[in-house]
Amino acid sequence: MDGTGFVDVELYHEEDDFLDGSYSSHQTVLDHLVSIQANRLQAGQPDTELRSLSHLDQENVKLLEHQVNAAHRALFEMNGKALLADEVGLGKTIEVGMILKEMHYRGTDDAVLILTPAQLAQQWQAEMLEKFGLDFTCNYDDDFRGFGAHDHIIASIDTAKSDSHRSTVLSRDWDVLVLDEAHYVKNEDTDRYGLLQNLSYDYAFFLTATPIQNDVTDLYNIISLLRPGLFGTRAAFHNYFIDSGQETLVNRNELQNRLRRVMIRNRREETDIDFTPRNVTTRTFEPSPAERDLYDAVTDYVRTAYGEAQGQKLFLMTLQKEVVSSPAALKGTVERQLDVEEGEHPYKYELERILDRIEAVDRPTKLDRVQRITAEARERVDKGRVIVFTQFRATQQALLDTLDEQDYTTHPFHGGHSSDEKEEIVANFEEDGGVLVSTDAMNEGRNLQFCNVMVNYDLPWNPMKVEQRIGRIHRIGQEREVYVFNIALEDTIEEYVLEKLYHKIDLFQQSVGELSEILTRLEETGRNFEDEVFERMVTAGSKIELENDFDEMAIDLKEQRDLADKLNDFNAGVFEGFDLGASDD
Amino acid sequence: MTDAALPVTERAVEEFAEAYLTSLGADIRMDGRRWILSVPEDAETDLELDGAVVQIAHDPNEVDEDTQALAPESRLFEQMVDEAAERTPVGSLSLTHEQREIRLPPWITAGPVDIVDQSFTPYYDRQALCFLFHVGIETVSEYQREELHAIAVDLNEQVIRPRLTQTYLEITERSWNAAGDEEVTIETDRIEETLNLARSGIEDEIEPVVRDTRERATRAAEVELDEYRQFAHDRKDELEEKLASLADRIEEVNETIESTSEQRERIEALQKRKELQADVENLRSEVDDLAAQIREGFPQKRREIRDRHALTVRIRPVSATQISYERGDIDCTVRMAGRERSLTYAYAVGTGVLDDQHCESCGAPLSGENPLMLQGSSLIGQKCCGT
Repeated sequence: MDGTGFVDVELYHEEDDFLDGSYSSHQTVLDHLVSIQANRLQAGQPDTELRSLSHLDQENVKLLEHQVNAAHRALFEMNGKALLADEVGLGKTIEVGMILKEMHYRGTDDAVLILTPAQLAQQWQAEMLEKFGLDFTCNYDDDFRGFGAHDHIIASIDTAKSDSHRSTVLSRDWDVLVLDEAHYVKNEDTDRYGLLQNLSYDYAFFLTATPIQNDVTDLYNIISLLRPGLFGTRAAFHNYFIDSGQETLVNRNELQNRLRRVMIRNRREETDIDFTPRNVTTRTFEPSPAERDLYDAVTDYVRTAYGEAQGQKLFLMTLQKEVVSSPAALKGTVERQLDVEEGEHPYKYELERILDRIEAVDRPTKLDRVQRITAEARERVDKGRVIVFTQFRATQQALLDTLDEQDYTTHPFHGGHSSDEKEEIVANFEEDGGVLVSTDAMNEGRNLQFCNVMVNYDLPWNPMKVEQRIGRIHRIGQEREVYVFNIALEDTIEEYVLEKLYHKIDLFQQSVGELSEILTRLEETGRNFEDEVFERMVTAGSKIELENDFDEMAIDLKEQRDLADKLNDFNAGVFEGFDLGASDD
Repeated sequence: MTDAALPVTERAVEEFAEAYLTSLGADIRMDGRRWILSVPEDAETDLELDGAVVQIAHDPNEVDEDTQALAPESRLFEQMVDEAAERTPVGSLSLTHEQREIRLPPWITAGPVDIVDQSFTPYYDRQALCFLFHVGIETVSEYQREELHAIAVDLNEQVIRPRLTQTYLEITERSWNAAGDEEVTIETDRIEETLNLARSGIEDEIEPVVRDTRERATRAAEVELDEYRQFAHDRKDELEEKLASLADRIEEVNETIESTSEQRERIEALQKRKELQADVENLRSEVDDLAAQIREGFPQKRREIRDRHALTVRIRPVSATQISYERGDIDCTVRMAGRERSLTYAYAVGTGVLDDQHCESCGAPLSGENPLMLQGSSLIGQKCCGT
């Protein structure tokens, strides 16, 4: 290409298998005529339509009009670069999924890189696979072999910019770059900004509900990554678009005209998203003396062992979660630990003591209580359908045994089933009613809207997982009010997490978008929710200190939530009157 | 819409679906616009069609609960089309004068002569290969354009036969009872040689589209580059203003250094001057860099932007049809102003008169615009020599 002429044209003649070698076949003329006409009809669709739409499984993803429009505009009208800035909870991830699905359908997605905050990477991976059938490798996968080894990658942005990966990431030409929570790359002096600035790509889709974090210049920084020069220099942008006295936007029409070339923002009030009410009840019960003894023994052991050898963290965390889930789950893990350890286990005595205390628990309190909820549902709800979620297979089995004893129709669902078996289980649950007892190995695409009662028999310490559970039944298409019951034992870690943390941040009323914002904010301050819960639990010197610790964490979380809310309000205010949802050019 | 593409109308959907289901061996019980299907167990399809009730519709969402929509953009139709497109990409058609009407060329029919008599005598069959090519043109500003092109190549002579291509498109648009061989054998060498010729024919055919798209993509790239160019100029101006202001400040500090008698004030001023000079250095380096970019026309940025806006054109064959067509002579008698003359031309079914004909007086080619007429017993062009 010379400096002043046309852009380059790369011409590829692709082979097709059917022309390999000499060809000899037997078929009817009609067969061939049908093939030819099929090809001609395929080509008869308009070029600027999302052709992959009819290939999406509507069971897995329900597309909304504003999402389809956004995907269409981003692909066909924005020079291959778009900032998707819908308000929180309107499904920006779905929009990107549609874009990527279309690109896959048309074969224009040879190398795709999705950069997200660390805590959201696996969520993205699951959503792309379950809703769109797009298989990505995540940097947290065991078989991840670096950024040069896979063509479809979802990675934490901080991993991508790290010294060990940065050069590989930058050495590739990516067809598509997706950047989630783009507002965290607003600062031009950071490594993240530098990485984005130097990446080579054809198409880029940035996502954020709050393009403006601290001041309107953030918008300038993000847009400048996508279209350097669209707003001129920083000073020119300031002079022309910001009233420096008021720090408010001026020349809004011109700003809107320019933004429209690169940004799409849908507002909730303009969409047809409508959720039925969500009714959440948390019930805490006094544990039996034997359960209290067991809980104390496990908690003491976890604190002591963690204080002495932090390498056992995952195991100790599991014990602490299992003790409030079921003695059965705890027993299995402790026994395995004793069997695995070569020679004498350093905590053999403590672990055996825990086993003794497990034996002393006659009937877990939670099991009794869950029966009452299911009994109530059997009387009041259509076909008595209830989903009970637990994190552990052993607890699941204990639940099934108890419910079977009471003549409930039960349906176990866990990760060990084949896909066909899972389909059948869900179909039977819909048809026969009763209780579906499920582990968290249920993907988001599974459609359980026919059920509207859910029990959290135990609680994951990762709030996203709680929201994912609820999202199985409380989603677009659910026509009835949804009932969520949380069961916890008094004065246990579970009660703290529930009462102090989850309720404080209004977890049970948050949308996925809102929650991911809070978690990402937390991550930005260098913390991980699950780790923090555990650390606070094991390091507290006394019960009072523990309560104070959780209060402190709750305040911090609430602050993050308030800040997220404020930012959403602020952005809503700034963009009020902007019509960026559809172009009328 | 491209030359080989067919519009996806409700009627096209209905006709295609019926033909496809028939080709699968399905039995269709029609109840108005509702079809109840029975499909043999061994039918070559992944679609669950046996026992299915489908309904022909305009809008895929407007069908009864218990039926599947067969409509443009309906899932079932898309699946059928996808499956069918890949099922039998190679096949054959045969064109004989019994099936295909003999068509005289416009340079005979469009002129003043009457055709008194015509007959075709076949001598032997010729072979051609007709390909469908999928063409994808991608550029970031328009995303992607897809086209389907057909091209027929005579196997013996290795020439492209546009009129045979046209006949192929007519036959494959709606007729489901065309004749052909059920056994198809094509030699590797033949395919390779013919395919290469066909590919170059397609390149010629899409050249105008590629050229237009390239012009638009170049303009889109230029807009981005202009934005950047303006940005760089503004930035340079801003920096130069800052440099001027720094120069003033350094001047003031210099005055302080020269005029002050206080040691402390002098040291502070020297320190300040050092800082300001460092700022000047940094800004100067950025200004120089920008000035160099402006002078050179932003080679790096230009390359980046243009690379991103470059066109990718992918050409892929999706079907090959071996066409056997009768070759022989056509005899016709034409009359004008009471005079008659008999003519004989090499002719192929589906292709027409094979050789170009010329005015016997001046040698100009005969065509629809310059049709044949009789002048005495000579055949001349009406436009070139007829007046």
